[in-house]
Amino acid sequence: MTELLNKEIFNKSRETIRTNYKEVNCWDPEGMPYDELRLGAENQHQSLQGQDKRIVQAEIFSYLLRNTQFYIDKYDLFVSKINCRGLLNRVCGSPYDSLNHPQISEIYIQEQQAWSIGAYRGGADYMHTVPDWNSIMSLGIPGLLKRIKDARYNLSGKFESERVFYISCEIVLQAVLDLLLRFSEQALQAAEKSDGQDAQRLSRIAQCLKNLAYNAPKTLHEAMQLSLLYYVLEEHVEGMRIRSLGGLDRLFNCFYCADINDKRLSKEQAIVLSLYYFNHFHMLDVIANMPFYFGGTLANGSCGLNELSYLLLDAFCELNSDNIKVHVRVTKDMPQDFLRRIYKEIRQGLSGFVLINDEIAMKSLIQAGIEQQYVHEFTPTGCYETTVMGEEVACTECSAINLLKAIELSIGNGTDLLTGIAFSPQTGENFINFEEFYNAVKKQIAYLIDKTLSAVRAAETFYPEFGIFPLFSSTFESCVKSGLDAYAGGCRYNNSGVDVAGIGSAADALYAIKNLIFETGRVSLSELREILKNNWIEHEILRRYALLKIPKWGNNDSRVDDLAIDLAKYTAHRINGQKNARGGVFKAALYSFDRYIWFGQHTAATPDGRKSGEPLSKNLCAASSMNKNSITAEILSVTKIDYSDFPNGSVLDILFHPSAVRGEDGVMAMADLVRTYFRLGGYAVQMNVFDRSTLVDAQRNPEKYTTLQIRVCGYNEHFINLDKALQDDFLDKAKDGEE
Amino acid sequence: MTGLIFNVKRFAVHDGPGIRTTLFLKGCPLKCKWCHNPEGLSPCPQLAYYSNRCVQCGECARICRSGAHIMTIKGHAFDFDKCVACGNCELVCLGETLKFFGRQISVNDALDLVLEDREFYIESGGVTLSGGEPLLQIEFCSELLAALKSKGIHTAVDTCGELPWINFKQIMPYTDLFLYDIKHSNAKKHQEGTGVSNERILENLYRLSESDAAIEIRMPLIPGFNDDADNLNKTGEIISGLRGISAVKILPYHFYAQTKYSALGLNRILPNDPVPSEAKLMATEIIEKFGLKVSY
Repeated sequence: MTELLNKEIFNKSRETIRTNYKEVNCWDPEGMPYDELRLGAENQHQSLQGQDKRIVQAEIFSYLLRNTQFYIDKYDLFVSKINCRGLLNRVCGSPYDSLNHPQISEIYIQEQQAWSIGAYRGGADYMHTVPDWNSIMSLGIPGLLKRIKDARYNLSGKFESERVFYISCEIVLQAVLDLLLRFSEQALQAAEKSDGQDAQRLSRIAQCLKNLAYNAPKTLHEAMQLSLLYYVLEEHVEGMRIRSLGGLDRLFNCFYCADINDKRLSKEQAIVLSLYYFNHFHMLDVIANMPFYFGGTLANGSCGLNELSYLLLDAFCELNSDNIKVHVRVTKDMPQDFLRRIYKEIRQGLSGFVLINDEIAMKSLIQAGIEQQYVHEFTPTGCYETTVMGEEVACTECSAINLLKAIELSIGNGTDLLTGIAFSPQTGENFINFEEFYNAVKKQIAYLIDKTLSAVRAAETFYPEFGIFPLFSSTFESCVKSGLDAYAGGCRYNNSGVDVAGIGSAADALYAIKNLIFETGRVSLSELREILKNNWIEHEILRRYALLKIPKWGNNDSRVDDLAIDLAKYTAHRINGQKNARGGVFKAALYSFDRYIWFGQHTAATPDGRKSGEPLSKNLCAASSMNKNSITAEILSVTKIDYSDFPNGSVLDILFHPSAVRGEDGVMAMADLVRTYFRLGGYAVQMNVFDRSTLVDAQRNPEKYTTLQIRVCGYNEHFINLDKALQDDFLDKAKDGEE
Repeated sequence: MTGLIFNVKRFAVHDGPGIRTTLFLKGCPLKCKWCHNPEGLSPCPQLAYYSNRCVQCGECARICRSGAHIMTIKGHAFDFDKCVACGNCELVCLGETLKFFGRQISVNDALDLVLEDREFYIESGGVTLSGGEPLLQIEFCSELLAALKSKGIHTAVDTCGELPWINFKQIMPYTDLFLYDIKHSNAKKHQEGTGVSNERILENLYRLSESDAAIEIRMPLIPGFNDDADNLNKTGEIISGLRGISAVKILPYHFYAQTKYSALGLNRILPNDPVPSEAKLMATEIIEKFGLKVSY
């Protein structure tokens, strides 16, 4: 296939491939149209009534794969377009239906109220997981099926439930094999009707799919096809959201090396093949971008970066898709040229990178109870959460709390200042000193955490009944051994994430109270309570004093930073190690994600001079415009927190002015900054390079900026497609003129 | 020993290698027509007033003892002539409207200030003294640089060169890099643009070079003043005759300083024409003909 792997050919056919892919009516003659398939599946569902739910679901899965339409493009080298998206959930019910269960409805009414006032959220999360890509790649679908069958044969006596689990896995895996063959057959027929390069491509596809139906992948082409197809089957059929493709350099390296050794592929051709592969993720409708990672520590302690890393990076940069994002597990020995290339790309606007301090991330996971021998398979998940691939089902995004709300509730003695709702325990109205007030804040934080964790636990009790994922589970050796679904606790580790939002704003607000009430006596707490309820109206001078004259987080000022350190430690210790309802523990994360907008919109004015409705501080950052002493001071503040306390991740956003990072000096400065950040114990960092005038112009003339990407919160988006609130927040943070 | 400073810039990345902190010292022997740091020209403290940011809080009028700030029916009024530049109003200003340039700082305090970011210097950065002309305050510079050197911090001095040679001699042992401006190759034109001739500047440059100092040449590119081929060729000749040149940087003129002039009560209108990219390219080409590598 070497003559087919030509960049010119790819570039020429790329748009055609994309158009055909997006065209809803473009299908091969095989299979049933969507609506017909749905009716068929519903009838099938009827006829299966009375059987074990797992078997029913597996049979419907199988029915869908056996009858779905699909499309093979003669200009392409991979297939992933099938026409049964979401049908399994529609016919068999969604796992999220559990949240309507009467047994937990009361908790969820409360949870919805908590979310509506911006206090916390907690529930089920089937959206942030990573399958065991290692076993998928080393065994292939046939190997996964054999492993399941072996386990079933070895069952003796009455293990009825386990037997049902194995059978349901066998049904879905067999259905995948049948689909591969059906695909392959169709590709072969199409090849026979075509000529020239079209025929060559189609027969390559046919061969690739056929090999995957009988064997584990042996070439890079086969490995990529399997990765892609598995992803689509999870995302579009089984109803699971896969939030990382894994470490593609380490996963694909053996296939790449085999291809190079057998002279099937050159470096340049590997790049072209990767372009075709990534192009599918560009075309797939992925929410919040599709991540994979580079580098990281290997089992033997060395850095996972290899020759293929550079080629994949080339392809990723060349494709310039905002539908794909990259985590970089940065090790101390990671070659600097690789990182410099990334900094240059970020500077040019390809901002879809998160750099993660591998050492601290692994340390935090060990502290969270992951055994040393598994931790090198740590896979950044979704935005910057964590999963230990192959051993952990980490529901990373099942809950979040708003720290600033805890302070609002302390000021209101348990009453939400915006809505007047009596929401949480009364923790006092008058305080003799700051320590007493701070204790009240801690009680409110503890309350929010307790409520959040109970909401998650309530949802989790229904995982075994509602979360049925045989295709996903069959990739885990521990599920195969235990005979349990991954969502029924079949995996070794079953942990759940809690995101802690607004650390900067909370520290600012706390210190402002200390200053205004207990140090300077400018106001009393009851006066302040009324002022905040009225959103500082007629108290603009006091507000500006609080905003501009009281020290803020992010300026390396220990008066505020010490409070942030303590808040972070207290919160982490209340969360970490608490038992969830599926045999695992909760893992704290210190980031806001894009909830800093929502939480802010529902948080009253706060003592730091923030007005009602304004965003919270984002992730680990200083509150908007409050990092007065440059990024270095912000980093010095941020790295005072111990990130081994946050095993579910954490991130600092850096917005560079273009003039600050221009030229070779600029790239060096970015490199030095990140190295220092990591040396000081920082966890992860994501970067944007903008000046304000560009963003202002983009807001006014969106048609001129259709390609302008922006790193939002662990995902990238076209600036012009962002909500106005998010756009405005970036405008507030960006600067003009010369830095 | 104290120095008069008007600014500290952290994460300065274009003032020498790596991530640096640049300390700006007040007072300059040159009066360049295009100066982008006009708050550094005078050797005395100054208040800048950004009237459009004023929130009419009246805090400055309450604290001002010289009557420079008053609140009228129309709002806040500021009289530059009455201001004694005590700097107290900046501390209470709630609109980020008043900016005080020129605080006295001891060597020890300056050291604490620039060492706050020492973790960031470990890779490749350090501390730069700039201005104004830092070496006008030679004793302060000398003590600060010596203290930095003794702590193993990389030091750079950004200078216009218009100083007695003895000032250079004094700090040379503690200075790792000189950022040295060449504004024009012709003495008369130099006098016109900056108020002084370039003779002593060039002489000091030669002597620095002969003393084996590391030097980075900086050329502000000012449209209509020094961007002609003749001057660029002569400048190239001058630089190529020097040794120890680590880099040549072209700094294209920009207009951003205009608001600072107005805020300082200076009636100077800077031309608002950015340097065309062709002019940058031409300058680079000419200088690089002399075997020098140019960056921006």
